[in-house]
Amino acid sequence: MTLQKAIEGCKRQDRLSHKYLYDAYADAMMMLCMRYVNNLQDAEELMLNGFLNFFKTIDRFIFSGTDSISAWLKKIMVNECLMFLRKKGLRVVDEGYAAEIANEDDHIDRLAAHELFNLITGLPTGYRTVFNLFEVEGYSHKEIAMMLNITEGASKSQLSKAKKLLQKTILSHK
Amino acid sequence: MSKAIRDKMDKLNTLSGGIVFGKEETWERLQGKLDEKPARRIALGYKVGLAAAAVLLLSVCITVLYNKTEDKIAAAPALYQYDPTQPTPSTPAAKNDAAGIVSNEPKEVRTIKRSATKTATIANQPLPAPDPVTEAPEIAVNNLPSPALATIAVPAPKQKMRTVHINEADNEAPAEQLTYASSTVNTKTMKVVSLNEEGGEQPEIAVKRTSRPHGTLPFFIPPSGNAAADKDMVMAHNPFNIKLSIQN
Repeated sequence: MTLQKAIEGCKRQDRLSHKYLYDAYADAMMMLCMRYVNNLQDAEELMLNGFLNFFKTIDRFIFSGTDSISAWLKKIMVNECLMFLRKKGLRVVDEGYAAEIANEDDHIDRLAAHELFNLITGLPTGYRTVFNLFEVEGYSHKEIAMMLNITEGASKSQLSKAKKLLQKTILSHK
Repeated sequence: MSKAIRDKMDKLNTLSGGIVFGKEETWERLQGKLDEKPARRIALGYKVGLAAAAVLLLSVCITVLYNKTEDKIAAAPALYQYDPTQPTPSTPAAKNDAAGIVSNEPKEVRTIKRSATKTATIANQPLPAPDPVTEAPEIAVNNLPSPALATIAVPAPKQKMRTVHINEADNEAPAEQLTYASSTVNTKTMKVVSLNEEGGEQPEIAVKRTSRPHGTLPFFIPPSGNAAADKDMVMAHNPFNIKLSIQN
């Protein structure tokens, strides 16, 4: 079975196709949810809801390559995570303009994936959310401001503070 | 930086520290949710149609019931037929008689429903001896088994009183005794003479006088044994200045 055939099978409510896609993308989606909520049980629940939403709205999906499935699934999972965080009372406080920190790629490039993952999940919720949306998912500050119902300035400020904290943490471990 | 971080995160598919999430268990749960039948949703059009049908059915039922009630009323015999030539009956019994309706209820008893507390208060207090002149006929209180309601029976008068015009008093037989529960009345006739007519002294008019207590019925003055005093008393109670004479 290929991904395209699996997509077509899912549209026909074929359970094997569902299982195929689930097995292909469950791990990655689980890691994504963990980056946002930093809790195993919550992440499992969010991933389950995300896949359920994906299979129910599969008719609207148009297959255009392997990356299209990943991008579509990521979008659904991020929305589930943000809704969960909103219910938990995520509040991004605009602490004013913070100067953008110069990118110090060397420190972060040297980090392993697991180390970086642990550092990201160790950030406060507001910093972590903006960092994930901007640096990992690739949203712009304008889009982040709309999603989180904050100003662009607040989004930039949160990102700067998140990077400052990451660098501080990295340097402290050295 | 963003690209590097993104690439690293995309390649990460397992949790660090050997932590593995329950992939198969999560799939079982996902399967269960996929197998759940979706909640049946009735289209808005069907809801509107159902509501309209319910309203229509209700209106039809109400119309049918209303027509049936009208038919029953129309078929029922007339309880009272108005006859302009006949005097209007004043009592329900007379109305029934005019209509030819026989009532099974006793006509003599009128019942007045009162609250239990008032009835108990009345029932517990000894009733004073009624005065036939000043008080109404005796009221009998019945102790009913139900504490909520009690009825008080008011017996109708035993004999109907006849109204006699004062000018016809001469031609009338001696006044009939008023048959109250426990009283008899002694009567004495008294003539009433008008001073207002021309020709001087007017013929005297007999006025019936009874021995009732003074002050209750102005035409009936108890005799004192002194004719002059009685005459003065009669004149004092003579608002129309009619010449009165007392015949003992």
